[in-house]
Amino acid sequence: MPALAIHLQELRFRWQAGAPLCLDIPGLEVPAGERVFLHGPSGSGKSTLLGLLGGVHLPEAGTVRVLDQDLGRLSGSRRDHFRVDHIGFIFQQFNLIPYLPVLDNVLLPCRFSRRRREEARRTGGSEQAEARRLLEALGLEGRLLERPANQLSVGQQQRVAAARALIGRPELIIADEPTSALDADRQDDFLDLLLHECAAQAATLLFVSHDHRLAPHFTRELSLAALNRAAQS
Amino acid sequence: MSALLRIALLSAWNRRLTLGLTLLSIALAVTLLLGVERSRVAARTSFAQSVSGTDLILGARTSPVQLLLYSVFRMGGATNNIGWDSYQDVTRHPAVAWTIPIALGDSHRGFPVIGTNDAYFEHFRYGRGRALELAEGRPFAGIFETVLGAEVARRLGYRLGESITLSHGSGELKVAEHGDKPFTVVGILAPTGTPVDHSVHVSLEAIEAIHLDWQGGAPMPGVQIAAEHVQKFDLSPKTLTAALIGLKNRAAVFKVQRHINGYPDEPLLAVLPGVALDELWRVVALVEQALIGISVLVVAVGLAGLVAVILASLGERRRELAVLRSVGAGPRHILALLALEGGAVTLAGMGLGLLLLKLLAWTAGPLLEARLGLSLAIQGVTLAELKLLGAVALTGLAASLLPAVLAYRRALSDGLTPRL
Repeated sequence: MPALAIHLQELRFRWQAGAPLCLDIPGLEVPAGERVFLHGPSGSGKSTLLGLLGGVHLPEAGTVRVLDQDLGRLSGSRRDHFRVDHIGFIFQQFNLIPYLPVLDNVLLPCRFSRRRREEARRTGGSEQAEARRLLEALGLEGRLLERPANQLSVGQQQRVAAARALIGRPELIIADEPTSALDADRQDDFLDLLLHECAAQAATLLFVSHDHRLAPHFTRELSLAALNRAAQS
Repeated sequence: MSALLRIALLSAWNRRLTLGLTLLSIALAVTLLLGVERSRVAARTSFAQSVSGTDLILGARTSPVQLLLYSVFRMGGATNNIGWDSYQDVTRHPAVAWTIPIALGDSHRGFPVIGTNDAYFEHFRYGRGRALELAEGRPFAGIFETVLGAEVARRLGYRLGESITLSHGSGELKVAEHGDKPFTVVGILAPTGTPVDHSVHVSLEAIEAIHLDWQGGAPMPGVQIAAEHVQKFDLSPKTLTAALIGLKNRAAVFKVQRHINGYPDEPLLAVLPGVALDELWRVVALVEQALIGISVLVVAVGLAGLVAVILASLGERRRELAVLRSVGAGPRHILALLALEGGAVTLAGMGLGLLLLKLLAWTAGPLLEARLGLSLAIQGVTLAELKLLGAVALTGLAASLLPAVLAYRRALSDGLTPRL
């Protein structure tokens, strides 16, 4: 296991040449196994940072290292592979493909990544069994799993998204305001489940939210506004 | 890639109503396009098959196309007849092997009546040199005997021995009946798929006989000659509408044509059927092109509809595509997903269109063949049709690339979190 899950150095990014800098981060290190709360109000460059970590965007200057891999050195399709092989994403909402059954939604990473597929088989016996195990651990089971995702409540959908992020044991889980669409009780439940599963898989968790109340659940708290010089001016 | 295929399928199924309607519109457009093309070819074939082995058509001086139309296709009327003596002169030309005289002007319940002689049954050829065959009975021998085309007998339900009357003129309106001189059906021809099927054949003498007591297209008042008395009169024909001519040697065709066109005693016209047909096609080509043009436009409208539907779906699928991106789909996957959808709908639409066309040929084909002599045979796809289909497929695929490329570019800029 690499020592650093995320390592940013002198990272600069702007959307278009000539546009003002969107991100300007001198440095960020997230050791493997940490559960980091990244406080990022809207407009602080949060989505852009996630895009850079996922290898969907490339920085103008500086390096983005994820699990010791310099993403800037990978080709576009290698970055696509790297993303699904090593990172599980959970978004604010509309995480799922609405017409796919719950189980198929969870299995999506296994369809695109051999690594995740084989890992899921190793831990669960088969991909389906592993998906069912994760969903069950997150409180979803039975005939619900055969239903199209858009028939589930928002809370259920977020848990399906968590199962999808976790399946095949990716080393890094990136969650972007996954609880903001849930009411307060459900937020805590969801967070507990997520933290528990991440710990069980020894995954690094980067949890982005604007809600400070959630910060005590994490091992470390960072502020994107403080990190990003472009947002300070 | 198989994961992508499954996603594409389920996604399309999720939007089955709009995509289904689009598919149907492409199918109908393809049916129209191929239907027009097939009718065009069928019309040409059926026209070209209607006369074969005839080297020249003889008639009164008029336009070649008109002579062809009324002599062979029994469409429209002759402006003028030709004299029997002139016809006899032409017949005696040393290069002429045989002639089939044709006297038109009467009808039976809308079917044209052809006055002719035995040469018709002996020398007339259609298709690839096929001779006429009698399905039942024999050629006419007596004056008031008639041989029916297959379609006449079928549609009117006539059998041998039946008695029919002819009307003057070509309409179905019974303005002037030759009711006093009924004909007996003695023969019924086998189907040919040519205007012969729609003809009622009688002898030239019969045409004379029924007009004995007529003058200027109407019965002479106070004069009535009973059928049994016609033999007392001279029934040898005086005029003729047209004649089909066969030569001993085709090489002489232009010589004979010049001879006829320069005939000193009467203005005559001789045309080569093939040349007249070509001229006819030149006239018809404009209409054909217009029809093909309209069909092509309809196909274009169908494909534009497809692009519009896929483009419209992109908005609502933006998050869906971002989710796919987050689980490892590259921009090229997104491109493939959308191109696949457009291409598949185009191809399925073409398949359905072909199926509809087959169904149409199967159900309406016999009717078209009977009414218009168009044989929309349930044939395989011809090369010309393949080219049309290929063009539709290529255009469809190219058109599908438009939303696909748009989604590709959006996938690059949206990243994982589309701003909506």
